[in-house]
Amino acid sequence: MMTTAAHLTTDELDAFLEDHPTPRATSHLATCAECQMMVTLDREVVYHLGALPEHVPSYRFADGVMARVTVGHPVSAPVVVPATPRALAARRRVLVAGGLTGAAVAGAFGWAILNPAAALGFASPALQQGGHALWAGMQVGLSSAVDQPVLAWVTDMVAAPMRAIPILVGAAGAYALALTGMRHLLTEPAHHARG
Amino acid sequence: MSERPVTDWRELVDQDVVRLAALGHEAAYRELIRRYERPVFSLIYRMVRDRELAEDLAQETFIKVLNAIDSYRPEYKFSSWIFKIANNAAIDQLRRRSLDTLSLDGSPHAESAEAIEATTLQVGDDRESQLDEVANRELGAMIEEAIGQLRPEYRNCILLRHVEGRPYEEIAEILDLPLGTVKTYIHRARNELRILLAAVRDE
Repeated sequence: MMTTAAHLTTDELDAFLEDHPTPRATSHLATCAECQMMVTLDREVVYHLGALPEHVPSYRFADGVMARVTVGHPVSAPVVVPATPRALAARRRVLVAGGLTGAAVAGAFGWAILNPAAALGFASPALQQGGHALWAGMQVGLSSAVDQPVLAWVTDMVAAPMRAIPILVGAAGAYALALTGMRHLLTEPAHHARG
Repeated sequence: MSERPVTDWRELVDQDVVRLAALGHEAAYRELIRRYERPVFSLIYRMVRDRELAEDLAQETFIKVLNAIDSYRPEYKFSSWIFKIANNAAIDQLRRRSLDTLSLDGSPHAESAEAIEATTLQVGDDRESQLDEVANRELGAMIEEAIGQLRPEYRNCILLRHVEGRPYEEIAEILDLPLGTVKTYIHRARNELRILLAAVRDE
């Protein structure tokens, strides 16, 4: 196959390697055996270059480097990195969705407490009867429970709310400790720089 | 700005890891070594063709980079910076030893017969025997050997472009060369490899 058109330029050969040849190069290649061979060999060369294995230094390499590197200002605090805008946006979305859901649930409860008749009106007659019975049962149960001597501290606390503060603080502290412990147990092992 | 603990280093970009290294986190130094030890060592090894020497030069490269981590300018790619220093180390070594011509006799660092053989390059003068030899080898190994025969300035260009996959612009930045020169070197290198490949195919 012979052609009189100019052979492919180096840029056109590059374009073939990157799979976006120009129309001129494509039409020339269709008629030029020499350039066809060139493109084929070029692709083969590039393929083999890309497939060359990585050479691996010895296992002591990193330690050898670190032994001669002066690490800046040693920091013992946990390694933290500024959150990316994407992570911040995701966190914001979760907070907004959680807030809206919580507000909706709280609003629904509030409305149901203020308008029990209307709230029960949504339910079927059987459920209404069940609801009334459950509510009456709860009232009876609560009033008799509060009268028990063993729960006198609850009555005292309602009478003097300041006494509840140390208990609440203690409970919150225990909860925080438990959370910290759980987090520690569930965190992946840290990257130890030495040893 | 909100911060989060690092649980997986792989999700951090180089700039973040460098920033943490500059803050004194030793694990960040280790991460930079983990990311670049193979490409840097491979590049240097393919340039100097001597494993021990390549390891020394790669270590020097990392030591130089990590000890100057505070001076890193985030507007440049970290990879460009480390490859530039690695390339300079390899080129300096080649200049000192004129390895590209000495390579006929193997590495001057080689201390055993095996080491001499391993670092000896075959060049075009003995083309027939060379082709006889390569005919029995994998094509990839032949290409690897052929890279060693290229002029050093072609060699680093083609390695960065087609082995490390760096764009032309970054190679120009790494090698401090005009873009046009980089393209020319890569085309010439590819041309030499193409000729070699065609010769092998004709065998």
